[in-house]
Amino acid sequence: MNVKINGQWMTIHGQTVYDLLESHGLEAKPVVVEADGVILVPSQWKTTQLSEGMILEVVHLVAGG
Amino acid sequence: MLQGGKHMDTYTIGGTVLKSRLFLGTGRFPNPHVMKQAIAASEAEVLTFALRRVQLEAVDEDAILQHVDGQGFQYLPNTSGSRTAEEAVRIARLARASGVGNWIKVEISVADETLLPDPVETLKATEQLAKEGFVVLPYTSDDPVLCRRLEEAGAAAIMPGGSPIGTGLGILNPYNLERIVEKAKVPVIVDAGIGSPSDAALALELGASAVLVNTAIAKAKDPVAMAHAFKMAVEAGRAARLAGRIPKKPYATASSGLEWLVSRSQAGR
Repeated sequence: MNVKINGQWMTIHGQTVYDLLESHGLEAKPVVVEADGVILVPSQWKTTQLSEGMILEVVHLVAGG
Repeated sequence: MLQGGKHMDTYTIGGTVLKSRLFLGTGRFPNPHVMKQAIAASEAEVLTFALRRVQLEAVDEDAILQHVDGQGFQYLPNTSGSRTAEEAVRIARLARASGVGNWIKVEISVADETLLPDPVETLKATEQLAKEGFVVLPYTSDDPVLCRRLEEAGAAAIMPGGSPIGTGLGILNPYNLERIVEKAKVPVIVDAGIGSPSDAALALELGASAVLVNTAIAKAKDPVAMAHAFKMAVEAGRAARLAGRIPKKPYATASSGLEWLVSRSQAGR
């Protein structure tokens, strides 16, 4: 299925948001996920199913003033 | 900080009691090692961050919390990159969801070479985020009326810029800063444009509760030594504020008294 992650379309094989994060080594990192405009808390990562055309943002804190 | 230690000179933002008069921005340091040393030398209690997309090909590349976590800092994420209140609110919600607390520096900049804050959008975002329970610290232009409006909208502190971000031009309008401080019932943190420790000392002398410094430390030849210099400057500025500076006068007043002067007219008597 195809989802858009951080502005890029990707073909992915996992079923849940957690699977997607795990495939990038992010499941234990302090990241925030927004799926179709809704912010997910980490406990929702395993229960949120990915769907065709889903728009995901995966963000984190970086250096800044 | 007061001599004799009779009581601690502190101030409070959103229920958090702070001692340090220096907020440190974490951007633009040469590397994380220097940044950590500079944080230690600055003795800052509040650190600022930005929120960005994870680079999926290099997930640890920009991550910052690994370098500072677990040391008791108050985190102040910003909404940099936003151009509207709506975008800033979205970034604020994402930042809060990252688990770093509910402080947010509203930073909504006009997309030009000045990066000056958009006053209308900043006010809107401040109002909305305060309603949502955020501790809101808006970066704003140094307009006394606007600062009052931000306070009325629920800002926990107000952050007027001294001059445009990263310019190092210092406090371009000390008059405005004094007027802002005079009326404010919340702490005033001078943000942006601070170029040197003397600028920071001036801000504190004029009554600001603290300054936020980033580029002036991160891009100094020796960021760690400069962080230490800023730490001393804010302490000096604050001490001077409490001590009460003399009023400015147009003409001289002799600092040596004239009574019992060895008078020329009496010479040779």
